[in-house]
Amino acid sequence: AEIGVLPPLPYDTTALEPYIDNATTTIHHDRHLYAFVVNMRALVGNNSQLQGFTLAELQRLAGTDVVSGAAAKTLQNSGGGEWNHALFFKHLAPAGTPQSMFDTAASQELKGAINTAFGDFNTMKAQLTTAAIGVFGSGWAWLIATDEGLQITTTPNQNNPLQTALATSTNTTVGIPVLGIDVWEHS
Amino acid sequence: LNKAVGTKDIPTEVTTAVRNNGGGHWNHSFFWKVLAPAESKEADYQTAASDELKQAIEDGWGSLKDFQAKFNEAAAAVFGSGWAWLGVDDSGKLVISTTSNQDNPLMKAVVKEANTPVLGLDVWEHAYYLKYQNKRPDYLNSWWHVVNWEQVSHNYEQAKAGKLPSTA
Repeated sequence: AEIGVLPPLPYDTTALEPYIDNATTTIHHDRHLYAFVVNMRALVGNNSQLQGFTLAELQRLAGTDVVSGAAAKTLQNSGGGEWNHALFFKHLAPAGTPQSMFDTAASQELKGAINTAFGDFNTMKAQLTTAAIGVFGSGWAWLIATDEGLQITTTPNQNNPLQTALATSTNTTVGIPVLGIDVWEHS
Repeated sequence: LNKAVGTKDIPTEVTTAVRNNGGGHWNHSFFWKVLAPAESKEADYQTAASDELKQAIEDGWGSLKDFQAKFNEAAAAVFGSGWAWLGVDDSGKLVISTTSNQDNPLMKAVVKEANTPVLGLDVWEHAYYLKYQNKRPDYLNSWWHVVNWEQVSHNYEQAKAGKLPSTA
């Protein structure tokens, strides 16, 4: 995702119906994600020490001394919000499309990794669901790639597992998100 | 139970459950009581708020409007789920504070600012999303129409006497 730029939805706002409704997708993308994009545009514009990094690299810097005070919070909250939602909308697809069929669309590598870590797809799905339901308040549930293979973790608010410096205080496993579920009520 | 959250009085294996569900239970029971229909006599600050409460608000912020602005500023700044509170602190002063998730200022072992709540506002998305969606500031500007100042005054009197506000 390009920092400070609202990525277009890869599909129409009605396309995720009936599972995710038109109004929710519209407001989620056009207002929630947009607000984070605007905040990040301003943050990076006003803080030269944040320039020249990708959004993902900025996540790794969140919670470190590269910025302090209010700017640090903006990097965590709005930077996380921008990154998380850019990932989220990109890895959704309308039901019934080829991309949404696990059996034919998932790579052998992904299937192998899921089976190794969880036994099978349904077990992974059940554990990820349990984790997502268990998030109290606002947050996300994640399937992440780590040195120990695929794992499941959760984060509060707009934190994510790339934010290494913040992970311990929120009991989050650090890793590279492969799949994220937004469980904020606005989703 | 809320006051005991985070202390040895609650077994560790149920601390989180008591914090989240006990907090949620108390917070919402408290919340319904500090609301009243707009245009009702309880919602009319001039006539329903006690002289003591009015004086305390004036002492703290100068005027009702200034207090409301500060309260809304705090409520707007809550990131994620949480509550904004007006409460009486240990020194008897009215203070504005915020908590995350279903924490409340009674939980002195786990919150940054402990006090006895007299007014609270839920800023979880479920409290305003159906009408206001992401526009929390609009919710914050509107909710003052439905505050039950009679109940808030009673809560204030109780808090000053070292007692808890009544809940449903």
